[in-house]
Amino acid sequence: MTSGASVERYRAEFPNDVASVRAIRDQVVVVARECIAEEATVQDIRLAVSEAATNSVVHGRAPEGALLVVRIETFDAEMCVIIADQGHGMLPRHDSPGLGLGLPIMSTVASRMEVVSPGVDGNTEVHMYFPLTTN
Amino acid sequence: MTQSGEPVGDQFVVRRVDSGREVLLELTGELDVAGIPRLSEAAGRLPAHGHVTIDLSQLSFMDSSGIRMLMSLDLRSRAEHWTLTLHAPQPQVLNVLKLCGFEDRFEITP
Repeated sequence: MTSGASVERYRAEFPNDVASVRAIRDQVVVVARECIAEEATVQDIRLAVSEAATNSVVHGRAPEGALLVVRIETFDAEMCVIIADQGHGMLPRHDSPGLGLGLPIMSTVASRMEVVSPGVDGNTEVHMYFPLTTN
Repeated sequence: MTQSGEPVGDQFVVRRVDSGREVLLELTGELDVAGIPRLSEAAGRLPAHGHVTIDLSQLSFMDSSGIRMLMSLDLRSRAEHWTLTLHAPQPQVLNVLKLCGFEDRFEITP
């Protein structure tokens, strides 16, 4: 469990399309490097964020023009990356560009992971927690 | 504030070199869901009884979208009677293969 007050480190919205996966990954890594000394953890975050953003774009069932909202919060000893989509929950797709590997990868590299539906504003949110090691 | 979808770093690029029944696919940059159509197109028709090398030495990042593509090529190689080698994966790419339990499925050369 997290303890202490959270600090919002980053918040931005991205178009819900495949091009945003890379942009989200890049932006989150910039913030992660400001807060986390362990490069291995930064790389875990990079991979997990890529999987979460891909899931939102591919499985999120978002309406036309929907956005992905990315937030990063830090607590005493953890960083939480939140990817929220304006879809209606995740459903499997027969033509998925994954092998159902996204969620297992995210849960393996993160300290823990939560899917919140509905979250803020009715969005589907993926919360991924990572150990915070200051520079 | 809505951010653009423009990436900060290198774009994903695939280059195909054909030499008889030898095909080299050189992947550069970062491979995610956005790059899959380009890789699928480059790997469209591959020679029966030939050999395909995927050079991963310049690929700095790959997620499970890339894993699925590699698995698809592996299945095709068996059905279409050609062989497949992955060459020089960087640590991040090798790590994803291991995370998914697929590192032993491929012939990997240093």
